Amino acid sequence: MADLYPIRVTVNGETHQCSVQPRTHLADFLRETLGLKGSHLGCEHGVCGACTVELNGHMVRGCLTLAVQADGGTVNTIEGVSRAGVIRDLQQAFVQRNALQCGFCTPGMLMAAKELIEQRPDASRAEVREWISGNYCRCTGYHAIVDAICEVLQHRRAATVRTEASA
Amino acid sequence: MKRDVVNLEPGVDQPAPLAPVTEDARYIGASVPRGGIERLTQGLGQYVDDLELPRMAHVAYWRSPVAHMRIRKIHADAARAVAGVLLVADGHDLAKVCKPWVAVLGHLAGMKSAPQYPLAVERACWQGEPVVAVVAETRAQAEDALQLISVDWEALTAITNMETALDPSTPLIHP
Repeated sequence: MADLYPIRVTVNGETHQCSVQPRTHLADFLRETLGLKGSHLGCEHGVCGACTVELNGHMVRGCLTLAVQADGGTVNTIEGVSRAGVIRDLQQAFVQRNALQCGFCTPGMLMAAKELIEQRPDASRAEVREWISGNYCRCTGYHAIVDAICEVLQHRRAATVRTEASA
Repeated sequence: MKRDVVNLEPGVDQPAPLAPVTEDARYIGASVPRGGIERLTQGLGQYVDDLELPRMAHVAYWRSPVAHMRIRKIHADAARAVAGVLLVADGHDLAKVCKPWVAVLGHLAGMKSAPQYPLAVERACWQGEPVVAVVAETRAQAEDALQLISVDWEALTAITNMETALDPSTPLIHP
């Protein structure tokens, strides 16, 4: 058994000082050490996207990132962004369009969609499909998910136009 | 929709049966709200993998690498010595405490599966069949110990064709 390695990481605004094995991946650290069960492990080898979280402002695969790589960094998970309310419209769009059945992929799907919406506000439907191609959903067939993300992109664009017009 | 339990005791009056759902106008052409969906969009769902129970242990399996094999000897002492390992069990161990399961079909009398043990006994009959179970305090410990399991096994003829499986000259997988 390898020695434990001390890390200091800010997760959803709270700073944690923990000791982890060097091999522990970020998703296991979040789920088992911090008890944040919202990030899910589907494949544990970077294919399904269910473990997608935000590390230092960029989405990462929680299962392909080691907890020690997050040392000194900032992590946001579905629990944190839900509490902050920053993707409330996206979550509502998923609910209204029933863009989930079992919901296992949903946190990862939302974390991926969050980055798309923030970084590419003008994304086309094709770009949305390409962006979420790394997140597997075995229930819905993706159409409702793509619809929900496109709807939020459109609403946020319209809101930006209105804000600019009134300024 | 709530499904009422019907009391079948003699002398108990039966309530009038509900109209079949297809005759019920509530669902036809209507958008049906789905309960409990919000929490799933907030990471607040609870899946089996999320459960943590007092004294909960984790299991990892050594599985058959081939479709048909005879189990000769299982070397498990090194795995048993790993910190956190609670139990290493094989098919014989579990057969003492768990009867094999036989699947039957209620609507097809006489149709039944071969007896299925939780862990393979003597032979494994499909690729991936669990042969040895390693139980430990954590998933990582169970998987670590699994690396130290070695099994002496002998490949047997795999039966891969349903048509020839019926031929008397083909070995029976479940005699």
